[in-house]
Amino acid sequence: MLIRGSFDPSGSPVIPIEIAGPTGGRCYEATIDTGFTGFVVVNIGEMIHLGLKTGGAAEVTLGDGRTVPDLMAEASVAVGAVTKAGTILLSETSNEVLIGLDFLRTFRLALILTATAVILYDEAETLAAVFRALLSTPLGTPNTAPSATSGEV
Amino acid sequence: MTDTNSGAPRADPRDIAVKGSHIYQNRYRSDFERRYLGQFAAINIETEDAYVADAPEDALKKARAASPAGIFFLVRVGSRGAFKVSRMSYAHPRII
Repeated sequence: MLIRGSFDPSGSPVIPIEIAGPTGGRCYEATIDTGFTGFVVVNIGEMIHLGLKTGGAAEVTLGDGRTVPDLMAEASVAVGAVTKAGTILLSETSNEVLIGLDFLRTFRLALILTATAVILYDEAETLAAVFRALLSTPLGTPNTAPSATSGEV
Repeated sequence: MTDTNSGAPRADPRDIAVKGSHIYQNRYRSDFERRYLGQFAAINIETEDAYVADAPEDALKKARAASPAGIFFLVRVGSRGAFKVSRMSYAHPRII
């Protein structure tokens, strides 16, 4: 699996993912946050669309040092052709969809992030293919085009 | 507010955190910090049982196997929070 991400208008690296619960799924542009140690964070309002059932809570330490409790729910998360079940956090304070280090570990993905390229790949991918993907990324400013046109899943 | 698929009242994360932290501090913290530093513990806030594993999903899997309908508080042994996040912003989610 090799996924080309993109940069959102703020310059953050993003990839398309799908999150599914008991009553349906939804596609999101998820921000790759290597400062986040968990799996996935979505806003708590999304549990309505996805039909998620909460099974507990965990405390999350924010960047400013505050600690906030978030509900947790089981959900299926798909990236590319691979789907994994995991525990996602339902945040009352963040409206972004974030994926963190547990996401990379769960999907066994490595991340290459340069000034112009966002590439995720797993161990089945050859280094030659990864190198070709890097070479095919346009040079210059970060690609902030919508992921629907620049993402490759 | 209710769970959409059950109609039951949705748990308040602050209540779960308060109960779970209380159980952890009083029953497990001193022992776990000697034996399981850096691992994850899922604490059933009703039975007060705790399930420890290296990864958060494994701790929760053990906990749910023992009590499928349980409400759990997840802690990382030796840390303030179970997870860290470097930022929180207030942009709207981008749905494709």
